[in-house]
Amino acid sequence: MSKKADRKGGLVLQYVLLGVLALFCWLLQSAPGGFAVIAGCSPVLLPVLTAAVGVYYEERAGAVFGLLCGILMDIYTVPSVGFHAVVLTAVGVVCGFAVKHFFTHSLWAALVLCLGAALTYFVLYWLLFKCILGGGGAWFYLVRFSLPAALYSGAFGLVFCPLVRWLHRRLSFA
Amino acid sequence: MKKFFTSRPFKAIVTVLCVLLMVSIVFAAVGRRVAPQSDFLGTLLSPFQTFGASVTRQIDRMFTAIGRLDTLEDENNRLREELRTYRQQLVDFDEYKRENEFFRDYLEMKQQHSDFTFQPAIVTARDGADACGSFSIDAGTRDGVALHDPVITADGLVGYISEVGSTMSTVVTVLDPTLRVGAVVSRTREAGVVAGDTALLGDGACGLSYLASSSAVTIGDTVLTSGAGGVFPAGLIIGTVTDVKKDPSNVSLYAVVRPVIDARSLTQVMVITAFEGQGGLGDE
Repeated sequence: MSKKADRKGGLVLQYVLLGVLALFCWLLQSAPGGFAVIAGCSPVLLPVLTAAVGVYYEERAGAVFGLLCGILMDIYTVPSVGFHAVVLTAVGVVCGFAVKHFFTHSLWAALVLCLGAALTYFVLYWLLFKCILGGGGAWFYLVRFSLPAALYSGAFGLVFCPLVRWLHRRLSFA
Repeated sequence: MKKFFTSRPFKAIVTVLCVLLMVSIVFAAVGRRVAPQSDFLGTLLSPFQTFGASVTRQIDRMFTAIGRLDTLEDENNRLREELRTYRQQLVDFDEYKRENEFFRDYLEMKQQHSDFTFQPAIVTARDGADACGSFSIDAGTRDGVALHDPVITADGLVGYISEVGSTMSTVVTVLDPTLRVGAVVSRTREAGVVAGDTALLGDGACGLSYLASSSAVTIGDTVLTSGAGGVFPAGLIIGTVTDVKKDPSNVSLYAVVRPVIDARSLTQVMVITAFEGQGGLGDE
């Protein structure tokens, strides 16, 4: 009984901490003034965080986390009605599924999936908003801004993966 | 017992006491001074007396403080509350000061363009994936904001409303290739079109195209909105010419314009919800 309660308490604490982390990342990435802008590229942190959550908490938790983060991003970026929610949910599911079936549970796998998530997000964003709906110079935009920003964002996996792994291991009391 | 009274130490003690007594009597009678033995002992014990007094004082204070603990706690709470109030007043003061400065800048613009109707807005979020610097503001249709309304600061043009909700809107900046602004060079009055160019995005610049090949535009010229099309009012500063090149087609000139506004650093903007000669882009 006590073990069960401990496990439940640990899970609640983990979800609360992940929620706080997501809010913090969202505030950072969407803050007016820009967060850590390098050569015109600023990182988008939530897809990477979603990938890390998908890797360590598996696809169902990854999907829910991705959906919530996506909705959070969608609320404040009107042109992307539903875009972020869909992409981030997919990122959570795919990362959880991939690590279960195609990768071993290692930090390297998590980092690769985070980078993949960032690349997927930025390429889809470019495809929809710059290639299809945007003006000219889409290829230049992809090479000059989208891909460097994806790599830059993916590098934040170095922070998120150990952090989420620590949360998952340390607070899983059972 | 008898042995003690007849012993040498006892006799010695009595002798010393008698001597001391006599000295005391003599000093008291003659000079009204403290006897030397008292003086000596007093000097010797003075530090201990001071220490003792200090300890006693501290103990006394402690007991007094314990007695006044409730009063002190009340006083402490009252002071904390006062401090909180003053801090809040200070924050409010800074906020009012900033707002005052913000609106004072617009007052001049309002005096110059009495036909403008302004709606102040706060930048709520940036789209981090968009290198063109689009952002969201906290004003929407409920505040009178409509699609394609111009967005400015006191320094000049920022962009226009590209998406509008009831309580929030998205602003596309002049750096975005989808936004085209009818422009005029202030000094030469030559007309052109300012539009975002992905090749110039890295430098935070946009392009002024369709200038005649004989154009006299030079570096440092100020570019203003022309008012053509009715989307933007005339006379808003867009930016400054930083370079003049030949167009790839070699038919006209092309100027690189650095906007006066750094969209990434904006925190407050104004939406012009109405102005004289306002047209629009329809629903496109």
